[in-house]
Amino acid sequence: MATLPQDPIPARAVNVYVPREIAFDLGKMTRITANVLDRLGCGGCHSGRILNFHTLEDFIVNPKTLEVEEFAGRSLGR
Amino acid sequence: MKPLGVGLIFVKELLPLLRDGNEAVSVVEIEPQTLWQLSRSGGQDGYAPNDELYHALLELPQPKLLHSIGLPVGSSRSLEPAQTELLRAMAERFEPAWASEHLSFNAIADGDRWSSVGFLLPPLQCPETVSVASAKLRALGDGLALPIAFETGVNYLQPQPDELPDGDFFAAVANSADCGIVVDLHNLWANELNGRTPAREVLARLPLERVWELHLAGGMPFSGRWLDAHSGAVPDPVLALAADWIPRMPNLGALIFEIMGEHVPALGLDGVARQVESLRSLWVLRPAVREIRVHRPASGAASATPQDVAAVRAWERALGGVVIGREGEGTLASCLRADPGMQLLQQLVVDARSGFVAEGLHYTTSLLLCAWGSPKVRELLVEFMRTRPPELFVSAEADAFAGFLRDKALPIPYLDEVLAFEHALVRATLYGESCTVRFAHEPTALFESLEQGRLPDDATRQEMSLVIRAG
Repeated sequence: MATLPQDPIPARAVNVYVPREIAFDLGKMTRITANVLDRLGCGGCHSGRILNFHTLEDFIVNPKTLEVEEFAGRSLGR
Repeated sequence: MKPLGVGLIFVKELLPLLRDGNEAVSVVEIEPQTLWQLSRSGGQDGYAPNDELYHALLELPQPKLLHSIGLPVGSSRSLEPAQTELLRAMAERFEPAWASEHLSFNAIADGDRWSSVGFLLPPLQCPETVSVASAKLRALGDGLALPIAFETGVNYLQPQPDELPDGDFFAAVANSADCGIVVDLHNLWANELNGRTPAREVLARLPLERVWELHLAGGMPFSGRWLDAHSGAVPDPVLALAADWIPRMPNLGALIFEIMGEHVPALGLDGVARQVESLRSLWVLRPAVREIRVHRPASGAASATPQDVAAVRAWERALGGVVIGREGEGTLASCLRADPGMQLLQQLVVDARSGFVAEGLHYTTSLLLCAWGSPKVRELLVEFMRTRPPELFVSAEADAFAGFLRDKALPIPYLDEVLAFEHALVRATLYGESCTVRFAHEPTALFESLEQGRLPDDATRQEMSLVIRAG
């Protein structure tokens, strides 16, 4: 980390600095960082179900069997 | 003043309908706290507006209304100065004709501090709550220098013994506070379906000249109840209620369709536009008046006594405690635990907290689900929730879960670096902290795999560090 800072990733009141010597796709990291920061506000008025976890769950896990999708032949569960 | 007309609650998914001079939408209602970021640097809660959304709203041509969600007036908690100040600043900027809040509570006293309960919960409908709520409404109106109204809330519990009937309670608060009422017709209808007073009986007890605003929304069945979920089109019986009662509301100033952002794709922008058209056909039914009367409370505010506050606080502690899973004692807690609506409330809070974690730690949650599958991740979330009360802001809930997860030191590939990165962003936002995050793998490939719902096939080992600095 001798050469920090380089170009900060601009993302609303938080900057992320990347070392100069690393080959790095700054555009991708900017998008990933913004994706995290954009979600950190107040949940809003709700008297029903907040489904964000379920949506993510359905996206990642097979909803029919609730089994983890096979991945590259490796066991990753404990 | 002139009535405002038909409008939409603001969620960014609806921006295309609000821009470009869409004359069908003549007012926009803002939930101010949804535009804020929480800051806990210095040990106190502070709030900062999201400038990007602020500017998007200021550029919209429609008049605005403020519908606060963070200072519920059915609560015994005093108005939080940090919130009130920012609300007042927003009021000066957006110049709403009035502001409104919920006749609910969202926190319980824990010694000398307050713990969130993760949901807007119903107050006990008794004279003490009338005193507390009316004093708070007057204080809020003074603090914002605006006419103030409260919203009639959803209540998934059965009526309590000796409780004031729903309509009488709303009327007593409105008359005592000398304020307006935002009648949420979907809430009243949901309450009726779930075993409380029929909506028409509630409406018949209200001082209709105080109704300044109506909310209409859609819901969904869940766990044997009808949820006020803001999840789609307004049901026909709710439209029929509106058609019957709008002609009797001489000071009706706005008719608002509410939908949550996550449900907009299912209904579609065309579907929302059709809901607006439906509301416009109801709007013409209001009494033939050109001006409506909306006012700030007359001076001479009544204050709540310590006995009133103590009675309200006892209810909050019992209900809020049971909802967030505490071992409440006494007859009231036992009765509430047996209420058919309690399991639903507890599930909704678990859903909301899980949703906040999934939002604030999106990549970490994805990684956990990839590695462990749903049942085990759900168990982990429930274990976490037993350790601490809910938070109102995604950042605070995410910070708490990240700390819990870090302490568990789970042997899941990539978890250390993914969690460290997201937690660092959360803490930079929340506490203004800066730090260095070390990666053992090329991070963009790692995160992009998780965005696709899978672990990386063979993440490239690459030692690197990112420095994260609060701005």
